[in-house]
Amino acid sequence: MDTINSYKCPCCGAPLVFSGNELHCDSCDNTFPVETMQQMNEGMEAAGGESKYDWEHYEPRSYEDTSEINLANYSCPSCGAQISGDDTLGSTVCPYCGQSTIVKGQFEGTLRPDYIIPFKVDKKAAMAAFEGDFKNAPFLPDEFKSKKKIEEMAGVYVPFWMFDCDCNAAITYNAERITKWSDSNYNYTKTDYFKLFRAGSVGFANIPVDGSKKADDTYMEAVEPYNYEDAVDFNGAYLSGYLADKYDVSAEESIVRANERVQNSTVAAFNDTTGTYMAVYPEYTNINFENGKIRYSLLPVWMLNIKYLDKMYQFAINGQTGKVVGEYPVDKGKKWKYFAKIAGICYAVAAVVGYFLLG
Amino acid sequence: MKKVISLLFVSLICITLILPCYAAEFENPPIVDTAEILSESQLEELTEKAEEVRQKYNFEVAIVTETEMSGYDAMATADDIYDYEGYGAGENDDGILLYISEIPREYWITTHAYGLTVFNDNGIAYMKKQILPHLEDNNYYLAMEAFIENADELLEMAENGEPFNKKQYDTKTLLIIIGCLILVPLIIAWFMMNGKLAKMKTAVENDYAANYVKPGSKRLDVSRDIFLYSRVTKTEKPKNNSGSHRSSSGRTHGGGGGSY
Repeated sequence: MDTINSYKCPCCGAPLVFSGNELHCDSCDNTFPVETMQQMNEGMEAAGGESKYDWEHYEPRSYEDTSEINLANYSCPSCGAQISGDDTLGSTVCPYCGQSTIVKGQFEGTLRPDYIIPFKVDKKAAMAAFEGDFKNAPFLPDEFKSKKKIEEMAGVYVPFWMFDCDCNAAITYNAERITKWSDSNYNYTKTDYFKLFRAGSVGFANIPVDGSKKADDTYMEAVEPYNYEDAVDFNGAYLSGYLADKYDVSAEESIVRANERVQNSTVAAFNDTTGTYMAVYPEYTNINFENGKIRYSLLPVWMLNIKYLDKMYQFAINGQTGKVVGEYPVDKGKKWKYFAKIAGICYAVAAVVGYFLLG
Repeated sequence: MKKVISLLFVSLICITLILPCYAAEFENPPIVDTAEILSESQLEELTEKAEEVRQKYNFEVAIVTETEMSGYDAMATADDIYDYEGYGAGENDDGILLYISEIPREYWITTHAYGLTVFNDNGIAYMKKQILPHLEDNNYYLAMEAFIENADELLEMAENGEPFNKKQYDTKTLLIIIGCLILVPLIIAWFMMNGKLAKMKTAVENDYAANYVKPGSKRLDVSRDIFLYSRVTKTEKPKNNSGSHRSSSGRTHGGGGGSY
């Protein structure tokens, strides 16, 4: 008998020994067909290598304004945000921090986005969407509707990096299928262990990553998705009545987050193909693509800063779809009243159960 | 007047003479204390009580003690004593017998025929709860007294048409049930409240980009499921030591017991 050092037992990790036409593990007494081990090793080799995310270099382009509106630069003395907009905006509170009035300065030029999605939801519709969202906030204090003070509501074109790629993926999973039965004396549980190997391709278009340090990444991801059929070539005229931030997170810096989202989404896409196992655990993931494209775009967001009981609450409303995201104040009384109500119902059920069990 | 008194006296004598003819007959005394763990007065007192109960219901109520267990285990010994020593009442040998062994310190309550109905699983569990603490304290007298009194109590309930069947739990199970009944509603309410609370914060990260998958771009080239190995585990089913079983004589017995 020869020891086959290249094959390790999938069950316990001990070296497998060639015996007859099969590989045997002396440690845990399992036996594996040679073909099975070869197929498993092929899959592991394909999925075990290092992923290669190859994004094209993005070269920023400066914008030469040919529109009929006059642009100005605005800066916030409180948070330092640098925003562009038409020079007729007047006194406007910073849409990001809601603390100070932004200060107008001379237009110093901006970077040309590849495209822009214009605002489709106007201020009135955005406000209606916000107030309509109250019904989705179960513990919202009743006084919030009357006592809230809108510090600022501004339409901002937020800079996003858009990532396109066509990935080749190889993924291995460990999977388990469990069967149970019993006889008069014992309960039996049989767990079958499988190695799954999936390889294929999937393409992504316009995965957005927030390009502004001032815009909260969480809010910007939550306010997605956007419909890119409405995207158009950038023109300064779209900024009329709105503000536009310019990116201060470079494309290279945003790649890390884009890779995370590509990887999570690729694994999720192939998870659908793993069938009806009781448990499936991704083991190795290898993702490869070349010449992934990066584009710079401006996406419409209504930034809403609301003061309630001396505390500032920030909301973002998708300027294309009207989707509202944010964090509402919580009425603790309502919260605990709900808890008591549910607990009361459950205790009533528990009392009936207890009566039958113990009575 | 004298005639009336004479008639009453004669009648009383007749009744006294006739009664024993109708009293149930049992082959053995109700208590056989081979281990001699009772004093004479205790034996006499308990015998009287047990006799009263078995006569009242025409149902065997017996206790046997041994210094050293004569059989394979407490259950087999109790069953064999019952079957081969002639215990039981009526044509079906209805009855219940408490067997106590000093070495090893084990006991068993065996039931037969109608005894299985009167002293069902819950009834046996109830009796064990009353008897065991006294056995553990080596207070055999109180254990036997409790056995006789419980037998009387349960027989009376059965005679009234409703055999004792209140679910019995050991302390651990009881604590688990009570703990669950108290905690589970709080846990459910807590999770439901937090579910609602999550709706108050909709600004959350989106780790996935499923919305951005190009339509029709997903292609699965290789899909291979390789079976590696199986593992079977077996766990013994919990044994209910008060269920019915067959004794060495082939007769069906119920009951329960254990160590003390």
